[in-house]
Amino acid sequence: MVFWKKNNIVIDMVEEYLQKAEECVGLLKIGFTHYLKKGLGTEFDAFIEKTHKAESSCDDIKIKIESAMYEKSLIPESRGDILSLIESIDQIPNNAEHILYSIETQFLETPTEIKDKLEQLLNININAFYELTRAARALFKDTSKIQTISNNIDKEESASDYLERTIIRYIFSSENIAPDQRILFKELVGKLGSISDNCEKTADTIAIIAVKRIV
Amino acid sequence: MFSLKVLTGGLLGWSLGTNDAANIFGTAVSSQMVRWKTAVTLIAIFTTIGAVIGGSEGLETYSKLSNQTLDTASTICLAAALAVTAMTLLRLPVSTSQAVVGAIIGVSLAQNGIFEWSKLYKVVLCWVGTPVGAAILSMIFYPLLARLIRRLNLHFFTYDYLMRTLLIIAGIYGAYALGANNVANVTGVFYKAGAFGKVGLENSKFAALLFGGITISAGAVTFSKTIMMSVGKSIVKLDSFSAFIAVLSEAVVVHIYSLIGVPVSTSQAVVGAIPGIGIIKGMKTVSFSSLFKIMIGWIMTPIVGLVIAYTLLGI
Repeated sequence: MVFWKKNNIVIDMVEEYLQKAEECVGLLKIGFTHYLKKGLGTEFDAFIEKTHKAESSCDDIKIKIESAMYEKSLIPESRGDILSLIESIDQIPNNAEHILYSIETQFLETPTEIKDKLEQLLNININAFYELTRAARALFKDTSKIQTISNNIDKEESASDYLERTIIRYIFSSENIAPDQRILFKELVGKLGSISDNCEKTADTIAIIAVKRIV
Repeated sequence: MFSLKVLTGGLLGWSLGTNDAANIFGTAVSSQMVRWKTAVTLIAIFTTIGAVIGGSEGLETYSKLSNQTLDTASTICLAAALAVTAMTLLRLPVSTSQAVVGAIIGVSLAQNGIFEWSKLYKVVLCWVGTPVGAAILSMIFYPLLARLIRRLNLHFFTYDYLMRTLLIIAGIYGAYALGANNVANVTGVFYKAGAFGKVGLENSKFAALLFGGITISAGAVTFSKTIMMSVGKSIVKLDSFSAFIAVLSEAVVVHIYSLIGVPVSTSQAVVGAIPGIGIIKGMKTVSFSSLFKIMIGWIMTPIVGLVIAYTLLGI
């Protein structure tokens, strides 16, 4: 009974973390979409603030999970797997916060002709993240779903790569974008695309955690 | 009072405990599924219980192989201990049982004494049967238990907990089987020599079994950690379920031989179980160079035991 209790505490904390990470990435989506439509300003700053708070909460929960894993003295194998999973997922909320901050600090003004493509790229990467949290939950509920979810993430990542290349090509061929802005936009596109890259890597980690326990 | 010469048996038991504890809990300890202290406590308790409850058949077997005096019994144990040490230094898989039997033959030949060669074929057959039996058992256990576990559809916390529990259960059984099977290596010849009282009396048999069980346990408790970690890590390449199957197969086969009354090697049982699992999983788990080393160890251990015992008695 003690074992179930200990496990449930950890599972609940992981769920709490996933919800907060989803909130953080969700705020990136809202904030970035707002930026594409209305540009910089106080409303955009408010989204940055909310994203920052959500990201900080993710870090707090992560630390709580790390301490709990040792206090509840779980089997080291389980502990190591959970910690590497959370560590890997945590790069994404960090990235979400970083993307919004870089727009704000660099006073980026997106050319109209790439706004749709950027929104599309954002959506693909956000979808990849939601698939990832689904995979993480499946680890505690139904591991048979993990492979299918992993394949979905792979598809999103490929689509993101393709779109990234298209946007970057456009950025460097457009005469409407100043040369210094081109580098900044290329970086922004790369940061957005790295969400699905991280999702793919983390999904691989989840798949390995599951496969290790297949008999 | 026991003769001090019995201490050579104690030394052999201690060395057996230090080496063979790794075959039982090596994987679980090195992968941190089970704490070393928990493992050695369980080994100490269940090896002693196994020796006392299930070790008498082995004592009878060694009693029938040849007649011993306290001096020759002490020589046998010393020779076997030296043989085990020599083989370990040569990094060859070693069986204490083979070393003891080799030493018994060596002592008998040196004295021009009686040796029941007709009884030896049963022992040698069991030596061959140990890895083969463990391989067959692992090929039976793996698919059966894997199917059962798949049906449970466990998530990974529960799976890890189940694996830890299974490794502990298999380890307890393995410790019991080790005590029951290998206690004869430690005190078999001394029992026959009357070191524990008149042969055939329940008290003397109990004393021999208890002494043997305690010395094996002492080896596990005092000095097994390093070996457990290194041996365990070489087996831990297997996943925890395969490791459980390897230990379970080893325990069952060693227990069966303890019922027959033939001391066998737990190392050889584990070494047999691993390729069995490999066949079922369709993967290569043992190399030909490893098999060659095992074969060399198989042939060399009794010969080295024999030569040392022969030489010691000559001196």
